[in-house]
Amino acid sequence: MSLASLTIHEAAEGLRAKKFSAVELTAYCLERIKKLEPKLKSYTLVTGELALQQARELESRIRSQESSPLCGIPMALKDVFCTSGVRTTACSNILKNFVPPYDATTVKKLKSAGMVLLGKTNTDEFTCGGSTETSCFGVTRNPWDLERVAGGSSGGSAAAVAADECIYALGTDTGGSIRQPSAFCGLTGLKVTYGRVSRFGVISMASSLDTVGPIAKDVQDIALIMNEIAGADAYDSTTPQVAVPNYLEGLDAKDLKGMKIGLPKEYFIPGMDPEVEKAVRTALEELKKLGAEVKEISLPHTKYGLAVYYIICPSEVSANMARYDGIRYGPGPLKESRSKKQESRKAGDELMEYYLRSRGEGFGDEVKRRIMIGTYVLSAGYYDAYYLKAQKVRTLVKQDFEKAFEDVDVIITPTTPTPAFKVGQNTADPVKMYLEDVFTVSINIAGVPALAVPCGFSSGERTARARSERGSGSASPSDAELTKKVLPIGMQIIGPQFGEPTLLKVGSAFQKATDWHKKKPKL
Amino acid sequence: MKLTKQQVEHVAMLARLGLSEAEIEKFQTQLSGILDYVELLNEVKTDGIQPTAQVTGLTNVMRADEVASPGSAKSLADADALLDCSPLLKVERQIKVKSVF
Repeated sequence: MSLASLTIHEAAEGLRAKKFSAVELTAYCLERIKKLEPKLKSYTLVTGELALQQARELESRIRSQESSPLCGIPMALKDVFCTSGVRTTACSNILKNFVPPYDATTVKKLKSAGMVLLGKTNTDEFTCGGSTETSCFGVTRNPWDLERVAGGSSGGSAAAVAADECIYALGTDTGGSIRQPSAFCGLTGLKVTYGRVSRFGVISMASSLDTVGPIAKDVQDIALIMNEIAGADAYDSTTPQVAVPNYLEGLDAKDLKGMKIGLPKEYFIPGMDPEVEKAVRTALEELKKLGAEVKEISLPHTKYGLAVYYIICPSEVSANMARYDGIRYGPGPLKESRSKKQESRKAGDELMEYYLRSRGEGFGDEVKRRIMIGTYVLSAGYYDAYYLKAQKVRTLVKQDFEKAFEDVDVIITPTTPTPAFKVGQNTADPVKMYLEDVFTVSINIAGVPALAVPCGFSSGERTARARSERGSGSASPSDAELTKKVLPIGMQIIGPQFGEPTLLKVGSAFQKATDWHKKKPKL
Repeated sequence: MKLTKQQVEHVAMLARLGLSEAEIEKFQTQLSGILDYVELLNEVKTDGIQPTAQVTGLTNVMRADEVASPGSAKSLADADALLDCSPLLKVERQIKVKSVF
């Protein structure tokens, strides 16, 4: 077992007991990166020298009394976190050479805790996607099965943690982008309450839905990271002044007596992978054994969550992407100018052409699609029918959760309807790709937190069959699909706004009783 | 509902996206597919329902409008460093763009 496979709490203990140094730990992670990157492509940039230098500088600080458990722990950041002097691209050609002159608030906080930054991880372009296939750097592969996606959009972060290319990572979650890749890669990931963690300096996708959160190897690590990054920020006006608890409290609970768990019937749909359903139901039995009470509930507007999301999200994307005009950020038009008759030109034509070409060349397909949808639904004559309607249904989706939490403490669902799908399987049909988010988007619409924890495995064979039954896979599974590679399955624990401590308590009790989170891919 | 080629071109112009003919054709189909899917919302009754624009109920969040001198703890980034993010020529700390009028 390599040092890189340690959790934060294990590594922090080892560092303090002088079993190994921060430099050794960092070097181990860099070795893993060197060995695995040709296969996985988790990283868009590896800052090895910087990481080793940071580790060296932190050695003496680690063993001081007041040092953070994150001090000297090597980690990775999704390539949307601005890092002063370190390239940050959002995996888009339009930002491919952007070097931010400042740090995101979360980066600043982690730096003061003693972060060792190994590099930036791959994501769908501007986080628009659920498979890390729309990145201008190429596709990130799932460490459990290289023919499959790692999920997305925080697919690079998830693959890097799962493959022990770092100890933990930060990601962002707008419609499932932390939870779905965590589920696909067998990890623990937290989508926080909207506003719990500052978004300042994190490249925006959809501002009323975007959240920043951790991807890690277990619940205890999630709590350690949250203790450093949560809280109001003067530079992000959407962070409410809600006291930050010690997220480690409650993790020692031996049982879940008195805990009421709701099981929404709308999340157990026909066509979902039978192995996913079985794994989640088995996990619920485990939670019952720990003393929790499980009851069926209803979230009646679940069916509309995805449609609400695919109006509100593109609308906000179209607004946020307006700043990439080739003027404030590079690179501007690269290709040769299209020939146009000079005499027909009016003043201003050149500027218009500059915009059209900068943006036409700079953005990839999925971002263009979202900009187009957003522009269409926000345009005169369509606003009420689409955007305003979606905002009203958003209220109903949010109220579903508020009503449910009058009766139960947490809600449990599968994180995704199926395990990781194959690279290229959903790229031709955007709606099919969007349907992969069906269990995660409503949580962002309501702004509530949700924790993804591993709860089992599926065999590749069964998965292929379930897919072809739903009509979303090939009619006859190919030979490759029949290879027996096991794929992780995730369970989603949802709580009321600012209910993160309860989610972590349930997740921690579950991980004490099971060892799904300890399984490693064979690489 | 199928979007016309003219509608797609109009939206692309509003969004300042220069698209190729092939892209216009592709988006015509794909955007129509997405818009068809979201039509699902028409079956929800929303009379008298207030729209939700943000979820935590914050209103009018203010902070002091202070000038942070370069290099001070409150200064986030140097103005020149921000100007350097632009690919265009800088003249007297301004970005030189193509003629507007």
